[in-house]
Amino acid sequence: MPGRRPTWGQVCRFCERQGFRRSTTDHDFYDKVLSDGSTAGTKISLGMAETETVPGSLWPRIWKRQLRLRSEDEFWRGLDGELVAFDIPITAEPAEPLPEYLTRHLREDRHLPEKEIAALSRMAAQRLLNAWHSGEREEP
Amino acid sequence: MSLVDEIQFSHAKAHLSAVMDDVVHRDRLTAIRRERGRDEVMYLLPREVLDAALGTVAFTIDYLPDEEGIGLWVNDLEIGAHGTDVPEAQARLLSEVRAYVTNFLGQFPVYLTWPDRARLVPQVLRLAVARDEEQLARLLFGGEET
Repeated sequence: MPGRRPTWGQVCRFCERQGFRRSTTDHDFYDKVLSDGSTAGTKISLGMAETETVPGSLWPRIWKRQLRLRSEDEFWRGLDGELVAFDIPITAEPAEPLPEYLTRHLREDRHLPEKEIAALSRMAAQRLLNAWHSGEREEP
Repeated sequence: MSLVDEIQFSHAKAHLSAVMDDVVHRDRLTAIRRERGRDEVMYLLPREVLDAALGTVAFTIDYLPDEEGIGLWVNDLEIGAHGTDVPEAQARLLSEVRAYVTNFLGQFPVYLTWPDRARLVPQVLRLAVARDEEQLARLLFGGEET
């Protein structure tokens, strides 16, 4: 169900139902060793309201890079206690059009022509946005 | 045989001040060995050597704007934080990173047996030995030394 975002409480429940190992300090950490020996893991701040929704910009990173799921749908399946497919071995991110926040930055902050924007990879565009915020103002 | 100067635990215990002088003031790497049924060794090194060893470790932070503000993500460590603006997100990320490092150090006996976590040890150590909040922020977000 792309577009739907879970609450932090649902992320906790997913981890518990999928057999993640929990360790607690002032945060809850969930870890799991996958079948190829690599690991998945996430962290929930204890001050975070269970009902608070995971921010839109972080959710894709959480399901893909922390929970290591093959697709977003796996999360909702796993939340219901079903078996999930982990992304083993890690697949390269497919080439996709630049997300809107990157094209907006390239157009509105850097005033790049459309042709240059179209030629930039997602990684290169993200690097430019990172540089912009960290004060480096890197040139494309 | 190790190339590092090695002393026995009992000697180190009796001469700790001199051992520390050698390490800290004369930049002498030292291994302390203890025979206790099994071979145990620990290494002492001055801060400058550790800084040099970890000096090339770098961090990349992705800035991810969304409808509610901005998310920040530390690549490789795979941790993030969100705020309504960049300063708020940075402050939250610092807190997340501190928690992550503290947990990682506490979980060493487990994480060292997991290869994809063990490879993060240089990054975790680099953050762990930051002298203060300001240096931690500089490591993550860049900026000039003051």
